[in-house]
Amino acid sequence: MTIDWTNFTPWASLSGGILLGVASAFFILVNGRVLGISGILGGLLPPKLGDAGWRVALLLGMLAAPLVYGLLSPEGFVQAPRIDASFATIVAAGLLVGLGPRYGSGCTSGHGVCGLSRLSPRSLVATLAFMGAGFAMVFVVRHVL
Amino acid sequence: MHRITEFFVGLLFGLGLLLSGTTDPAKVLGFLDLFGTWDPSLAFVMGGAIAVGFFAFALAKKRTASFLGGALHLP
Repeated sequence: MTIDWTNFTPWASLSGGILLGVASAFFILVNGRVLGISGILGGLLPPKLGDAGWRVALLLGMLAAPLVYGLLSPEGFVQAPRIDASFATIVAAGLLVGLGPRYGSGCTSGHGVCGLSRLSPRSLVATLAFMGAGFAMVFVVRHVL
Repeated sequence: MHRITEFFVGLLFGLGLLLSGTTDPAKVLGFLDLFGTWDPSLAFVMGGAIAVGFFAFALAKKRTASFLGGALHLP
């Protein structure tokens, strides 16, 4: 294992992580809900009467984040991320990213942050599973194929 | 009031994602490439989030209602 020191951003990543923790803390304590982004989005497909407003408000807040970040950051507006893959690959990947959290009852925010924070064994299993699958997949794609 | 707090939580979460580097696919791949040149940054994201979340959920377990008076939806 070699560490990639040139791209290593411990302080930005730690600060960002603390912000994610504060958002999760705020949501459970003030609104009484677990901040699981995939579930919040998934609950809108299809939207149910009386259960859509809070989901839309939260997702709009997320969509506003790049704008606010661009105004606050000394580096200015965020560049759209570049993904070197064909349209079909992106569609297939998106489908898998949606299916996984649906079957696993949560994603990195619900299981990885909230679940591990409340010491849930189910979330630990889910987190180890999706992180393990991620490590394995990148290993195969970058070092085996 | 609820809608404002929900929007605020989403905004805060989005800012956290952007600041942490999680929104950059190259950064995510760098973290997952354990056997190449590994960028451990994203471990700090989960560490920072759980360090805060742990205390929030410990407090939430002791409460019967949220600060806004609604039910606490704990799994």
